Amino acid sequence: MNVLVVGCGPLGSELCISLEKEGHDVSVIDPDPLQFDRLPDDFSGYTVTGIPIDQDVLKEAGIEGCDACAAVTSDDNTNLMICQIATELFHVPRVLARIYDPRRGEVFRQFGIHTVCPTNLSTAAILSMLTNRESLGTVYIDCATIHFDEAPAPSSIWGRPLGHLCAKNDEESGLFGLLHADGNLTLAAPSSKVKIQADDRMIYVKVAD
Amino acid sequence: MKVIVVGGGKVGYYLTKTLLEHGHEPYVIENKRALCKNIANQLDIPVYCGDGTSIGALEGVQAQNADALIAVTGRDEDNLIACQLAKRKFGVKRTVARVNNPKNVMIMKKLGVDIPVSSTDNMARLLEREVDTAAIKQILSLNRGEASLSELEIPMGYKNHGIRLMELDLPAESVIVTITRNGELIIPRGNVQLLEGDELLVVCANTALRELSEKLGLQEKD
Repeated sequence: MNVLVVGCGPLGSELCISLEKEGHDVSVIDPDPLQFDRLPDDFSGYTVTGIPIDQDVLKEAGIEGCDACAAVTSDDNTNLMICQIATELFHVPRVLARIYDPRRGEVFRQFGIHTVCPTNLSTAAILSMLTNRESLGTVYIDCATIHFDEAPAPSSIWGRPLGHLCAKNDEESGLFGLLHADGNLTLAAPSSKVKIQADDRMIYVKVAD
Repeated sequence: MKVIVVGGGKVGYYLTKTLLEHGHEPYVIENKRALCKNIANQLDIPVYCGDGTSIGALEGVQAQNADALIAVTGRDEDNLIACQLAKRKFGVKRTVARVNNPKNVMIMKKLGVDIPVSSTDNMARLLEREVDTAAIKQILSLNRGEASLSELEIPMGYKNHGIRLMELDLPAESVIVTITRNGELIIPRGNVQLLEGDELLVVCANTALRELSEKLGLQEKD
């Protein structure tokens, strides 16, 4: 794939290195040429110094022929503008922006822009660590990041039917299922009459981003 | 009208002042505390100190009740996002963005800004007409600066005195609307002559003004 990375900061440069390792052709834009020092000497990608929202700079970096574009400068608005230019003007098939502000990111996500929000991701990870839940892992489906945690079933709910505990589930987080001591999992369904045992573990799911 | 002004620098300040003078209700959003204080003190209006491209700030000034939002920060990205948020999230009907880099005018319009204003373009055009076409006086700007209704006078000793309009190869983007001669108003057709001393009213695209001037034979010899 031809990938254009806009912004060669800590994230951008790591992204470039990883993409190159996977065999993709990488171009990277940054207004500050010193940022390219983050890249290794044997980096085979193409670096362009220039203002990232300038169409001529984007063209020079090959936006017209690229398969994907990641806008990862340090500024949300710049990233959003680049994404939209890439999609509307240059018809790049796959475009993504790193957005720090979750609320702003949410609005633009509703308009079809794929976003990755480090704030949300970090909050979810830290919350998991601070509560006594153990993180089970993260699954990435398209642009969504889904987090699974587990915690032992608290004594207050022993004996209650699983279905009752789904009531608090909402569109972003909730109880996913019950992991039994024998290793089997029962999915949390509102109709479930399975009783919660003392040695069961609660599996929670959350859409982190 | 309730108008939200994003950006409290020089442009934002004078814009807000002008809006007030015209009887509108401006609300300013500006990030720098010192600028906010200045505006609040000098203009005595509500100023929200915050990032005009954030939902919090727009909620703070109740953008959903605004008739228009004008983004005049020094950064095109910020102006674009402010306008898009206002329109998409808060339903603001008219959005205006200052465009610092003329190259971005087209994309701003394409991405939903109702009125992108490029100060660089406007200034260049103003200078062009002042320097190049001194004999042409603009009366009215049409279609946001794309064309204008202008007045020009055919000087005494006009080299093309008596020429008929149809004989002149005037640019396609221009029309001579009226000719005033000795107090009489003529609405011309092709066979009308141009005489020295005539006062013309023309509608012309700004990009064709120079050509119009040349074709009429008004340009001074260098």
